[in-house]
Amino acid sequence: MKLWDETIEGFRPEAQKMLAGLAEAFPAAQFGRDLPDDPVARAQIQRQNILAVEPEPSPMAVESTIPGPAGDIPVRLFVPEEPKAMFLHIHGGAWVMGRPQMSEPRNEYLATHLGLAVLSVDYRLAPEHPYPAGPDDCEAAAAWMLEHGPERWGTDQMFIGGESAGGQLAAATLLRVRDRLGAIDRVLGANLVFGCYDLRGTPSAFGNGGNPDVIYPEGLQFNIESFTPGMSDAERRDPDVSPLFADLSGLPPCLVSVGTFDHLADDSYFFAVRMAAAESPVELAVYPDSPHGFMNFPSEMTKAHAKRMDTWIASLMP
Amino acid sequence: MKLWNDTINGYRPEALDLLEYLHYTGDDDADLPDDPVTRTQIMRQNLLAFEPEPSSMAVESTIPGPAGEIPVRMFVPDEPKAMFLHIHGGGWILGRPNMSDPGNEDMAQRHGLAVLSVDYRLAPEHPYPAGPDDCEAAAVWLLEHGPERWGTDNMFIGGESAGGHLAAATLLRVRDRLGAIDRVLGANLVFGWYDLRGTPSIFGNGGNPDMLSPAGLQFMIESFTPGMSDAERRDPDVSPLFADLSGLPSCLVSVGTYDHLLDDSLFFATRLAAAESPVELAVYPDSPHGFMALPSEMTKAHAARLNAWIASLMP
Repeated sequence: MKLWDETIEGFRPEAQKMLAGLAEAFPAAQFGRDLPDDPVARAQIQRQNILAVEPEPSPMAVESTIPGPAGDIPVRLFVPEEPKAMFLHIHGGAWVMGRPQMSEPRNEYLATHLGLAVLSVDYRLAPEHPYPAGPDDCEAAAAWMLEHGPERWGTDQMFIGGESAGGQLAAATLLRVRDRLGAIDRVLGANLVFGCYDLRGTPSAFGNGGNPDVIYPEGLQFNIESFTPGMSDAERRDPDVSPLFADLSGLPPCLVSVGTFDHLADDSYFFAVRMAAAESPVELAVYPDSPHGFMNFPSEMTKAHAKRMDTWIASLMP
Repeated sequence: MKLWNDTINGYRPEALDLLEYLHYTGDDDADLPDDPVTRTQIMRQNLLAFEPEPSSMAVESTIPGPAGEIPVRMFVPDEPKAMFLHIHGGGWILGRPNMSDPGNEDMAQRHGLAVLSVDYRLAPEHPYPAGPDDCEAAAVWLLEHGPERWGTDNMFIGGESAGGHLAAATLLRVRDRLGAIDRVLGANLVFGWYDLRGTPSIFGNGGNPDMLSPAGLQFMIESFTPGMSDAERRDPDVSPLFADLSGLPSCLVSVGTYDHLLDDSLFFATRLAAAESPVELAVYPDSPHGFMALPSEMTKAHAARLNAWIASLMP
């Protein structure tokens, strides 16, 4: 059983060199190390910090709102001239920080190069709004697209995707589309990028062998606690909280991507292999010597990851 | 990502027919008393009824252990080419080497392996770490005495169910405590148990027929690791899934999709692969825990794969 091919293997020396300079190249490595213990104060500082690394806004992006379970939800839309399908994007940020703008270049690219009408949802964040606020907003975004896509953009099919906490929310939303909305046949695929799927913690969440990474076990635990405050491990086994525990049969194709140095590596391995055992179509894309958020580094590994996502999306387009 | 090929897929109708015939309910032990020791004693008696005929090749002996002599059952061919440490299943609380006589005799005859099956101490009378300690003592004994007794210093380790757990734990102890991982040719891990907090399938296998049940599994885990918290069960010596899995010899990880221990094997194998240890994950669809006790094409395919894997690693 090999998790990557010879081409990817050849990119390792460069990836290792990148990692050697991780702290310099990506100051986020220090996120959380000397932050206050109060969850709200801590999240507010983290949100400010992450703004500093936000990319330039896209001229294509249009701000709007959609109705949500607790009021209007801000969304960011990227709509090409003739959309062929939709893409619900869910940003990362450990459930406590981040906003759609974080993923501006990629979402613009999905619209301009792949003909997708992209909606990135600005869901409510913990700790002010713990579970199930975030998943409820993401589900509302999926419901809105399924309802309005056909008349607005002439397409009734969508992808769902997200990174990190957005990967968890994308997986949870995918399951809600199947189980609550009964519309799984309208989902073309789910792009799940270094998500968190078992909130009890997989082995790697407790330690990645001491390899360099932008997240660390205590920070991850803190964020899980912010999102699911006071939950026991038994409660975190609820499939709506930890999608790893769901029935994973009858799902559309998923592309599950992760780096081996990521503290969330096992979450992706386990989610993908459980999908495969449930006979849902799944590709597991593993990038050796790569940390959480590795695609922020300009590298051959990053290019390979982007290319694989593009190829995968193209293969599923209607 | 496909976990089995078209040949295996073709055996599914037969596997499903057999399951219907077996009519597993998973709650065979529901009427047993709650007291762990009494309950276990009855289960041990019940299991004896399913024990195969003893092999005429088997020789009973003992080896020194951390709490006295450990009974072992040996199967030694004329000119052993390597050794095999076998660890029987039974949820840490029941079973003995005799359960696996036909398989162990076959290992000796077919592959020229000197097989030692260890009769380790059982829970709840002897909880963790008694069982793993006895298995480690057996590995130590084989590594020490194999060269002079049988002219070989290489060994396989293998086991089924709780024996898969103990085989994995022993493999890691051979690497970390004995510093002898280079003398292990491979580990045959058959529907083992690798995360004692419970993987998703341990809490429910989708309602498919299986001889195991979530409640029965929890009883076994609690008997083996009484009173341990989930955090304590993350100790890699308790739950090998949490270990550093790099630098290990070839592992063959086998499981059926209806097994409540399915996820344990899926997760252990992928984590091995990510750690760049050589691993084969053999998944058998529509197959329950202990499926190779059923006469079927799936069982034959499993045996053929195991034999090919062993042969490929022989010195």
